Amino acid sequence: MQYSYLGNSGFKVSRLIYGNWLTHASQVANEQAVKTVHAALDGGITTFDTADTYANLAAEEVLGGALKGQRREGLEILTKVYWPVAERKPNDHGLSRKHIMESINGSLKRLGTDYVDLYQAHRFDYETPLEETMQAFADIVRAGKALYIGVSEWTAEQIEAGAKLAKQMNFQLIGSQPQYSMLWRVIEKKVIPASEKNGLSQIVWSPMAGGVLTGKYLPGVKPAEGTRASDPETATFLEKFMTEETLSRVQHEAPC
Amino acid sequence: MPQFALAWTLQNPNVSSAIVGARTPEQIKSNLGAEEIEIPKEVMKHIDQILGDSVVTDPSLTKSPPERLV
Repeated sequence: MQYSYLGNSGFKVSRLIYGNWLTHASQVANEQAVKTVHAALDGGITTFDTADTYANLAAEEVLGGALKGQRREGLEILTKVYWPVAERKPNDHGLSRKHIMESINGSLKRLGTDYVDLYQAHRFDYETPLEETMQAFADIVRAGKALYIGVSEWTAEQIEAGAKLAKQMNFQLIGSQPQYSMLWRVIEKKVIPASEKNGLSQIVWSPMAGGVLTGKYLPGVKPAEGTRASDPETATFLEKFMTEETLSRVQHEAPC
Repeated sequence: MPQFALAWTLQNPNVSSAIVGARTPEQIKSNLGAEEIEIPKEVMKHIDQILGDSVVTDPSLTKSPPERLV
């Protein structure tokens, strides 16, 4: 395994990160989840990404359980805040100080750790002043509940504004987590240049376009049972890649 | 092919890491090693030619919900 610095920081992450979106506590039985996490550890993966919203809080718990007994210093644990989980009371969504402060405490409890290495804003919240959000993150870093802060799916302008405020508050944004793959390159023109300028690097999700780039979906062939494209809950995310033309091009793309 | 797709994202110097969502130990094992693959420039170009307009590049597609659900 190789490791790289996240943004303009001294913090290293494994170049392959194990993420448990759609798997832990939903598609995969717990025993299998633990085995898969251990296979990742055996392969040198030290960085694990989750979110409170995955499987409605349960994914964090499964990950926490699977990592139990590992030396904390040898791991990088990443989670996120923004989406409503479990209940939908007025303050259960977004990046208000209240939702951020309550969410970090819940995440730490479920993950079974005193701190996360990277706490990420899962989306941008247009209903909360950015100053309020960044102040909450600053306080979380100060309290030692998260060591670094990142964002996910923020635009170039949002990254720019967030990074500027963070610097004024004596911390920094170091990670951006967008969707990125051969088929989905929307970050190249704006998000990447803005990130680079402000000391953030990218941790990319869906690098295989939800499995499409593994070449397992053939044009004109019904997706096999048990795949993401066959499951109505996950199929909508893949839809944009599932055209005959794209699938047939993917079959021709790989040299191996 | 899974390794190749992962390796493609890691060729970009601004990409620190790629997230893999393996469901089984075998899937994780099939991903390992992707970080060591260097894709030659001409292969990168060839991929672009094959994928053509299947590639989505519109920067306005980076977005968050305009309002909260609650």
